Amino acid sequence: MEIAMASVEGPLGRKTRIFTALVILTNVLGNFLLSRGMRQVGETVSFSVPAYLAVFANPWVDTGVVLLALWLLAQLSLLSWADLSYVLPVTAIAYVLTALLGRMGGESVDAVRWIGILLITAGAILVGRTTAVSSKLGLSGEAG
Amino acid sequence: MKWLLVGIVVLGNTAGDLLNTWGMKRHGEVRDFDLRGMTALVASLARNRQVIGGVLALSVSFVAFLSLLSIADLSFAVPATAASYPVETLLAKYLLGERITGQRWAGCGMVAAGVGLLAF
Repeated sequence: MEIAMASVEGPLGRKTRIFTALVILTNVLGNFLLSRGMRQVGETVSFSVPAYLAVFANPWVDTGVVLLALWLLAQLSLLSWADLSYVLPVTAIAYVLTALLGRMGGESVDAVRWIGILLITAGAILVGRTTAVSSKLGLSGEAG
Repeated sequence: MKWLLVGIVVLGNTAGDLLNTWGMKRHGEVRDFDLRGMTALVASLARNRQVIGGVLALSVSFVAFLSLLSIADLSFAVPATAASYPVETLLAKYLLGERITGQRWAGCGMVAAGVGLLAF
């Protein structure tokens, strides 16, 4: 068991950090580009498929979708060794960066939202300090 | 309309994340990140039932999210859809057998509270 934990804390710890960063960056940039694109496209709430296909004529939307495809691959890779209950709160830093980008794009962020942003950041840091792997389905289960 | 779309996004995310985690734990740790490794990964994921279901659920949530973005601020849309945090953590414990320590619960609670504030 101790050997298994050591391998988890070693190279895997670094790998976890790299992939967490990758998940956050592709998510934030992808959402930002999508939001920008959808603002240009205008209100799209319908049950018709062509209305959604027309959205892809917008280059901002397309770039956003490519980034979110990369996000999916990075997220799946991270989930192949790390707990979901670790990945979710830690990647919540994406919300903070999203709010900051939205503010730069002219959206207003009031005091209550800033407090929310601070709570999310603190929560993510707290979970980030726990071990990424505990699942019986995961590595520790295999090793133990 | 806004909150109906938020509901669809949350349900899709919860189902998608749980299925993807289940599928990826069955797949095993991803180790090769060169072009060949990633191609092999995509090919193997295309045959992974849980991941297929998970990606379908995320797709539904994505379409609802696109619609939400067209009628709401990004700084409302993204946080409001994250109401799934405590639900997913509970399900990760009971369905996936993850060990959730007190520290992890506290962090999850803070994230959920922060998300709640952002939604008002």
